[in-house]
Amino acid sequence: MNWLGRLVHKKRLELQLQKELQEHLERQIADFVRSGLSEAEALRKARLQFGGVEQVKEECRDARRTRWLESTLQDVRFAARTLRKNPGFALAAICTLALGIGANTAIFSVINGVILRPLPYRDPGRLVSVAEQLRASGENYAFSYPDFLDVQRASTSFQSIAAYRNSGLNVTSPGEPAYVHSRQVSAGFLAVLGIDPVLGREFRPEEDRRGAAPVAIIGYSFWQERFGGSPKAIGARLMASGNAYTVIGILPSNFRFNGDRQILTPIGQNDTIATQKRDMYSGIEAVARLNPDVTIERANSELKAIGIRLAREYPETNSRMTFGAETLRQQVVGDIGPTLFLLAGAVGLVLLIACANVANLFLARSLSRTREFAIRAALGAGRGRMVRQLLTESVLLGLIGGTAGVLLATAATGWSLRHLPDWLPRTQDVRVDGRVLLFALAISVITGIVFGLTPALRQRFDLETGLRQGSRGTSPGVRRLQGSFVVAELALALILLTGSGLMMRTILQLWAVNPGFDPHNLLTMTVTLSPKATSNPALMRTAWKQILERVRSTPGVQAAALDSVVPMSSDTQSVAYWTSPETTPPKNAPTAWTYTPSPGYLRTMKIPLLRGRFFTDQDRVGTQPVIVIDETLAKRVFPGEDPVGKALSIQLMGRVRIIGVVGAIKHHSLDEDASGPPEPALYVPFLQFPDEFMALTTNGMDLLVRTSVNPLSVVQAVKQSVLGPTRDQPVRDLATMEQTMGDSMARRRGMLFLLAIFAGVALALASIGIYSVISYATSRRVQEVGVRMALGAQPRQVVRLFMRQGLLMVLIGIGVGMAASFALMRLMVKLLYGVSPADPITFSAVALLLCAIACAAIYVPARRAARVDPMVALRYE
Amino acid sequence: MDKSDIPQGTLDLLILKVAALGPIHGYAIAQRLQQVSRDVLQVQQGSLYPALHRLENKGYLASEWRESDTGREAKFYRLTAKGKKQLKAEAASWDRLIEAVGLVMRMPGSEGV
Repeated sequence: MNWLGRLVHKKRLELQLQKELQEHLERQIADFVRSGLSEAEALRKARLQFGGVEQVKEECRDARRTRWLESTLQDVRFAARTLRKNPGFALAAICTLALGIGANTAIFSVINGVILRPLPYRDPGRLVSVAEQLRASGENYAFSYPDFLDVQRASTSFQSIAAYRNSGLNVTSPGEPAYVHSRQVSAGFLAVLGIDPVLGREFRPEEDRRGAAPVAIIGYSFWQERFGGSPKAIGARLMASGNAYTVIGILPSNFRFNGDRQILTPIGQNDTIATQKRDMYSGIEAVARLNPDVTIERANSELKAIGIRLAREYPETNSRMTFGAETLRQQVVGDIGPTLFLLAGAVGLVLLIACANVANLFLARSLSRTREFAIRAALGAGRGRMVRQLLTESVLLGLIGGTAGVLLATAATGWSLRHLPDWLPRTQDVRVDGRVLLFALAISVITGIVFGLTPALRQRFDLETGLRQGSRGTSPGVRRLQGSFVVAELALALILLTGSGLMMRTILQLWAVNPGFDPHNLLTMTVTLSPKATSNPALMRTAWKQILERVRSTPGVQAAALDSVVPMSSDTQSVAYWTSPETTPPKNAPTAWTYTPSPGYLRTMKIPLLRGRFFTDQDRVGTQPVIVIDETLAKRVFPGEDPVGKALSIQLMGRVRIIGVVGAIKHHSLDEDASGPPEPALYVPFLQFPDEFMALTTNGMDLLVRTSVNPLSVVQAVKQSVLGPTRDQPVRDLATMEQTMGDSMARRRGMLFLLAIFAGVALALASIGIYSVISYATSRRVQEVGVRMALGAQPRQVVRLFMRQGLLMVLIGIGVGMAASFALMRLMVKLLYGVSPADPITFSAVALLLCAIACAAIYVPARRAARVDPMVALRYE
Repeated sequence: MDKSDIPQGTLDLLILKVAALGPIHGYAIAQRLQQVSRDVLQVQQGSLYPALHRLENKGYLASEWRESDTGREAKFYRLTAKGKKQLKAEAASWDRLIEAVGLVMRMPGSEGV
């Protein structure tokens, strides 16, 4: 029988042991009787010879070597019984621990998913993201497709490299017509990532070419929804944006790469200007797999060499450009690391508070158990054995709290990932896996030991004082210890409060930033033209004009305009500009944010016109090319002069005349002035888009609508106006400008939301902590209060007595917390905007808040103590 | 002749040796040891049973309950294959020890002391 068996069959073993020893004794007696002794004499002698039966039994039990486990099980059973006898105490401790451990588990599961888990591709350590770069600044740019093809041909560092470009298709059949996010990719894109289609195959090089028959790989959910998951989907027809695609492959259900795209098409089949010109950087990115023996540094130096060669070969387009690679992980995860570790620190504080709180509960209880432990000591239990018993109790509580915490964490992460603004990469990889469970188990046990150890070591085990003192009175040592726990809790809570206070101030400051346009009552959406209208550029211009006219005449709409990029969205568009008349950009030509609005844009956005005029319907193809610049560009290029009437050269457009200057706006986020000097912007008239560029608008233009009423109330009417007589021009990505601006602060809002929750929990726990310590102190001093009141003390004086004791703790806690916050808030400086990490307003506000809440928590039990009837108090216990 | 307590560590060896002769219960082991040693070796029950249980848990002895000469059930111990090996090893090391101690004790020149 192994030790587990011996443990399970303990009862049987005990019976057998008893029987075996009994048998021995009886034989001995029989032998003695046979040798002539009387029955009674034989019994006596046999017993004497045998010795202590119980001692022998104990030694036999020891031989089973299951002792440690048995006594642990015994401890656990005893602990469970003790906890059941005190359900209030147990529930308070478990809830507190569940909050602390749950918060830590939740944040760890996020860190685990986003940072620790490898990317979900084959051998992800060798995957790199390759980009075209500005040689001067090293700033990443999109690839131009001819440049990508040259890099693909010339590089030897990569086992394989593939380009991808996000796009969209108007799917018409099978299924309901809808716009579907798609991606144009190189042949071999899936092979680079090491992903196999669940069905079919991926693109072949001969399909990744202009003029090849249209083919598509579809996503798993698209396959389920539109093809019913049938294997017959391979080879089936997919009608989208006027083309008939043949489905050749199906992606795995869990496949994600920079977002979820449900249709892949070969990028080489794109015959628009987006992929044909060497100086068109239309959102093409590349992913590559390094050869086994190649480091990323070597790949980078090779890419730089290719950049120099291409610059020599194509000076007119490539003199400013080079190429570079970073790990795919860097590209996907970005700079979220420090933010997550900050959150980990915050939840760590919450857990510390939870520990202090539960330790306090234990301390309070340990006093009432003095007598119990004194008796156990008298019965022969050693000090170590009793400390072990107490630790078993606290670890058991830790584990129960941890289990509840894991459930809480699972629910909370699921909910917040679904409902919070999109601010984290790789959210699909965030889940409770073995590592997260191990983490939770480890912190549960450690927590149990941490909060259990101090009370366990402080427990008085000595017989004399234990029995004499009984359960009355308090020892000054315990009171001091409780006091320091409360001080620590308050200080920790203050740190969290300060953090969320600073975050809140930041968000308020950001909302107060003037974006340079009026974000209220402004609706934005993306519009795709009817496939019937895209056959030639003239038709497209007419179709766009008609959409604008219909929208403008919609009730509730004040003004409307088209644009290629919505400010404050994540889209960007920029071109190089220079003052000399050369046709190609000089080597170090700066770039400016570029918008291509229709007339009416200024009125729609409410951007002020500073000089000259804005575009009119007369500025169209065939008339003199014009642009409008913003004040930043005006100051930079024409300092002290009037730029109106002057000429400027811009990439892809050539020489243009400046007709107006408008106010500067924020382009991608409200805090962009914190990351550098204002960036210049220029406006190119949409109506002067050359024919070859019109094809780019097939995939959609942004429509901006200024409303006189709540913008959400006109959404349906605007949608109908856009849909048009052919009813095949759906809108997508509809949002109010205020929503878009909110999304640009997603990370800070996410931080604020979480910090506020953690600070709230911390505040609640700390208040409960101080409340319970004061109530405990008052209940211990009922008799004293009774005496005082019998001698004439007023209730007010009794309240003051306890308030003084509590306030001292509060003030020390706030002092310590302020000092710690002062040191720690510097860690948050990157997340702050318009507020110093030592902001006096925030610091004093949170200190006052904490003080007020703590005072309330003290007042309640103090007041109760003062209401006690002296007679009752004196008779108490 | 004086009665001797069994030296530390040798009880296990003696038990294994006795059990090697065939299945036997605890009381009989004590009796047998006493008889064979002509009453020199006195086995304390306080150490016999813990030793039996220890040897059983180590796998040197196996036990079964069966009817004994008295008609009642008794726990019979028998040597396992593992126990046989252990007995052999311990007996050899015991022989070596005895021989070594003997050599030292027969050292000349000490008689006169």
